[in-house]
Amino acid sequence: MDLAALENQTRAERWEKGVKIGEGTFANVYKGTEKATGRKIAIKKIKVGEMKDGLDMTALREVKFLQELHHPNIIGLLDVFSVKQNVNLVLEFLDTDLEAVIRDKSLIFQPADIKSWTAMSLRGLEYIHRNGVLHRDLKPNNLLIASTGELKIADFGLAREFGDAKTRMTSQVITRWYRPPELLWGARYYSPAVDMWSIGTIVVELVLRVPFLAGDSDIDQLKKTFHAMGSPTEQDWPGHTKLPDYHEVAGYPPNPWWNLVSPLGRDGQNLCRELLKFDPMARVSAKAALHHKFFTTGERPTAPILLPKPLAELRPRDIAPQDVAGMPDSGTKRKNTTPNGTEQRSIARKLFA
Amino acid sequence: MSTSAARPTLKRPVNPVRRPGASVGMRRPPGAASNGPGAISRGAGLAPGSKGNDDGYLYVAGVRDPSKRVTEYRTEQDVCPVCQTDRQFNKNLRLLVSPCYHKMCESCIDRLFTLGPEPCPQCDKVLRKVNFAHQTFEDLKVEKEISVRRRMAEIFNKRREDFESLRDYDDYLQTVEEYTFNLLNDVDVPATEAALSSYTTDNASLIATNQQKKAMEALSQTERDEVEKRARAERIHMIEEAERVDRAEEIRVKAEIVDALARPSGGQELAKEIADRAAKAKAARAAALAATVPPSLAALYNVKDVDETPHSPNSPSYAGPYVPIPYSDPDEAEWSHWYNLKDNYADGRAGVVWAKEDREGAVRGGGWDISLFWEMEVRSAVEALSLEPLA
Ligand SMILES: Nc1ncnc2c1ncn2[C@@H]1O[C@H](COP(=O)(O)OP(=O)(O)OP(=O)(O)O)[C@@H](O)[C@H]1O
Ligand SMILES: [Mg+2]
Ligand SMILES: [Zn+2]
Ligand SMILES: [Zn+2]
Repeated sequence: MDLAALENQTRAERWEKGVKIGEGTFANVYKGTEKATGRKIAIKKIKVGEMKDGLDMTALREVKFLQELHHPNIIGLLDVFSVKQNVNLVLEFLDTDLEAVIRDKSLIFQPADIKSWTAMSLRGLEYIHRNGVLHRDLKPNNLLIASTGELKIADFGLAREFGDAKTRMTSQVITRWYRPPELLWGARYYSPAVDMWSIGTIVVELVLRVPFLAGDSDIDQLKKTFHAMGSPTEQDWPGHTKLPDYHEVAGYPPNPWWNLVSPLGRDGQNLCRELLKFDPMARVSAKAALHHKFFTTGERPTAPILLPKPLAELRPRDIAPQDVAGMPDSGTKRKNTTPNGTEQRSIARKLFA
Repeated sequence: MSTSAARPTLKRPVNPVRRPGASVGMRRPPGAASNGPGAISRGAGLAPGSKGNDDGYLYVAGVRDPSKRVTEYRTEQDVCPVCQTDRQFNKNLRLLVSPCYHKMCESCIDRLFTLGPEPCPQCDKVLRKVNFAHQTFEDLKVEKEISVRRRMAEIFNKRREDFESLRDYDDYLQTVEEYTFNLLNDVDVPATEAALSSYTTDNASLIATNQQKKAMEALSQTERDEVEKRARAERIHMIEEAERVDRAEEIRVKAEIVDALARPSGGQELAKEIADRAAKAKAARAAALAATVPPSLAALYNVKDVDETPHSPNSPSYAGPYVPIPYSDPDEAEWSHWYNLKDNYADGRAGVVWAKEDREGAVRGGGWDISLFWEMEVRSAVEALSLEPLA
């Protein structure tokens, strides 16, 4: 056995793998413990990918980003080891996710709770964007909740670095219901604004307790979006008709959709409108959103420990939400997102949390 | 128990969903009085000013068992819609009802369904003889009313704000009321069904949006219930507290009166004065108690002024952008003051030139932002300056 293999084995032996607690499209997640301390952890075992050499890009991306990103609102990566050709990520253990919280109808959300979850998501995301990374798969199920109530952004399997000039990026990212119109129209040059849209739809979902824009196909997604918010005009969003997959979805009249989130008050409504601007250039950035009045005036955001949480541990879950009828696929996902070599650029960063 | 329902002659039904009025489709003959105890008065649930002429109402007459429960409805006007037999011709005519709420006489049911399942002569739904057997008319009335109203409410959930004018909204409500009437009374069913299904397809997304609004309102209702529950508990607590104060006061006043009466002179007057003052104070406390709104209710119903003063970093609940400690504000990083970004740079790299020109319009619409790109490059270069060199 060579040295690397030996080291891998000793690392693997630090962790005890327990029952399966979650399944995503590309990974199985198991509960586990650190043998030495008994601390609870999660092991995310990436399913064997389609890559010829057996090493999935998904795993590589996720490991790469999680190793570099350290922030209280981003899931912590504790270790990586491989068994046969599977990559295993050892992650801090988190009790539940925002989707389970939203679906638990016995929980009542106060506006201050929504303010708190939104602030925590934005803090994590601001840090991700500041470090030149696009998450590209934000949805309630990828926002995990720690036992302390703290929200942590997880699942970096679709993340990539912000594109260099003239670097084409795939538009097949972000689960449909949370996907912004520029991606639905096939934009290949986009920005962190794509993640901001996802946050906007998540905030509205926190109020409605059902997904805000639940399209059942990409075309239907555009229709639902514009039906809810009115069709964009060239003035609202310069250049949108030039997008590669543009087709007219006109004729929906403007609609004061922000009345849907009136429980958040005037400032909350305004923040939602800023997050869900059609024009990605006009959409608020994570940093600017954090400075929005919504967070600094009126009711204080609920302290994480006091946030509503499902009483019962919802795990183990039998089926991935993606397998449930009616849940949208996320794009064509990993297969399409292999970086084509030259795209990748390395940014020297001093990570500053 | 008979009820009346209005035909869609109304200018503007108050609330098409909750209006009372069950109907099994028997029209009331002109001049006939409504039957049975508990009949809802004709005008019930109608918008003020609507005409209440007899012609507009339906009624149902009932046959009651000794417990006064309606077991079967029959009227002199009953006609089998299939064979046209009426009560004048057959005194014992018995109309039964299918799951699709279509009536038929017993002999028609025998004739049509003895050999097995057959389509309903009125709507083509496949029926069996047993399907007719079990329902009383009263069940039917309730069930049909509920199922039709529920179905209508699900599809026709537009709100005032979905219309430009009140008039359009009125017209819409009236149309809904017509459809409802038709379905409840088996009038123009195929045409009505066709209209419903084309409305549903045309308005699919608005229907969905309004269903979401309803879900949200349901949420605020739960919140409201929760608050009211808390308020009730607070109220009970307030009353208990007031009673405790009253009892303590009573004891104190009694002692004072005893002392006053023990005085050698003027004791009587003083005692009376004390008693009067105590009675007034008690009344004042009762009034104050009645006027006090439990805190949770006050918070709910009073329009809260938004506190516009920014949260202060020293307050324990401070939740500014990058808190709690040990997060830190990136703008406070040492190197963040080492550079100033410009709006534009002379950047001759091919990709940058291409993106700046954006001849194909590929960049603008997707939101790729050259200034973000520059910012990232400059910042990461500067950040690198603060890194310890590798050994
Ligand atoms: N650290 C953790 N602690 C507890 N549960 C976790 C943890 N990480 C993931 N899970 C659970 O496993 C599920 C799948 O994990 P994850 O989203 O990372 O996988 P994925 O295959 O990339 O998923 P997706 O299909 O959503 O992209 C999550 O939704 C969550 O319920
Ligand atoms: Mg996931
Ligand atoms: Zn007949
Ligand atoms: Zn029928």
